Amino acid sequence: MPVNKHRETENRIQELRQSIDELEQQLREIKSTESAQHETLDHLDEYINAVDTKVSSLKLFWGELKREWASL
Amino acid sequence: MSSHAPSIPADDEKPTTSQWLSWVLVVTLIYLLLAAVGAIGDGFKMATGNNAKELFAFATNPFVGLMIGLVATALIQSSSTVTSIIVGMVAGGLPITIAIPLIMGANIGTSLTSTIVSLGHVRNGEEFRRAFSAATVHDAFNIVAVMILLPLELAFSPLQHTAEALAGFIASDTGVDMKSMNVMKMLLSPASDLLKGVVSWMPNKIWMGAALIVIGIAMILFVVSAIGKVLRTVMVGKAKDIMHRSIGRGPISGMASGAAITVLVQSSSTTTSLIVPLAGTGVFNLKQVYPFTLGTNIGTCITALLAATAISGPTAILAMQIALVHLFFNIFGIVIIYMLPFLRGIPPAIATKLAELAQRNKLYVVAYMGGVFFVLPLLMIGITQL
Repeated sequence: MPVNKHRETENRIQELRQSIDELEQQLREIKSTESAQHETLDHLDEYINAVDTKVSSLKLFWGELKREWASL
Repeated sequence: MSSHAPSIPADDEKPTTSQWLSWVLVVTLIYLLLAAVGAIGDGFKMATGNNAKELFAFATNPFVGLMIGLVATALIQSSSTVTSIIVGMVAGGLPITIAIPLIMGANIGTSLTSTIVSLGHVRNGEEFRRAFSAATVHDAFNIVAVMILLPLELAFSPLQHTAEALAGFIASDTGVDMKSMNVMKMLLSPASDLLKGVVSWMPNKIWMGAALIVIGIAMILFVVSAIGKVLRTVMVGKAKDIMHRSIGRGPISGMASGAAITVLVQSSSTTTSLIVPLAGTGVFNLKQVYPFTLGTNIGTCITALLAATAISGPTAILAMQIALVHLFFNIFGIVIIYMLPFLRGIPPAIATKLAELAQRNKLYVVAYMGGVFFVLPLLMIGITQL
């Protein structure tokens, strides 16, 4: 009985360790994503005028559309 | 990313004098916006007398009104402009029941701007897919909101009644007696008198009214565009702070930041377009972008509410009512679609599918944008007028 109890406890510890490792990995990923988001937001000045790119965006798309159409 | 407009220094880097000048300019532009809305209201009253309802008889079909609002906003590329004009028209006698579908259409039409902006990422397949889905999630949400709320409104008028109750409450609770002389009227009367003086040489009231409407619309177009440019420069630092603070805090915080930034820059197009390149990089995913864009729908209502304060006299409450309809439409839309789990996933699913199709073949993009924003609405208007 004590041997079985030991094994059960060791298995449980292993499972918990694995869960903790997975959670730590998830946390690292979240932190890394959030850090990348903060870094991107530091350059928000570059994106704030995105609304003014309508004409250039349409021109670019039109060029790509013609190119795609020609290649068919 | 770097292909976008040159960077603007954050507000804390700008010299104080320049900031003061910017704020003086903002206040002047807001004054002009209010004067313009007042001019449209006055012009509409002058031109139509008591016949505004007859003039807009062609739009009594709510679907026609919806399509007019949609196409007008898609062409002008600014829902703030269209909703401000609608507020002025309601003040001038346009019935609320006709104005409500116009407002709903404007909400859909405004989402075209960010979709156009996403086309700038077309050369990079994956980036384009992400940017296009971030833009079209706004379109999809607004279309689904109209599909749910327009029939409900036609059946039970929940928006009209809620806005009516609150408009009366605002008018009495704040002590602003909108039926008589008030502070806003006193402030705006010099501009109003000036504009009426400018058109006084015209032969009759109809011409004078029409001229006032044209001047008012031209002023709103100019003001909304100019104020957006100035506020973007002044507010970019604040916007940055708000977005930094909302990271990792969930969808409600995302919505709040979308709403707050839109209020600060007075343009939902600016905010929804801003998030497109951020999503394109892949740093922000669709799940994070979605509540942010819903917040912009709330934030953009500030312009119509502001415009409504320009109206005094018997129609002031109606002007406030239509501005509140805009706000409640967006609040109810979020409550119904985002809060109900079985509806929440529909707009992102539509946007994801559209983006996959767009990445596969650019003709889908042409069909989608041309179809939803121009061909279908114009076709519907044409059919109903036969």
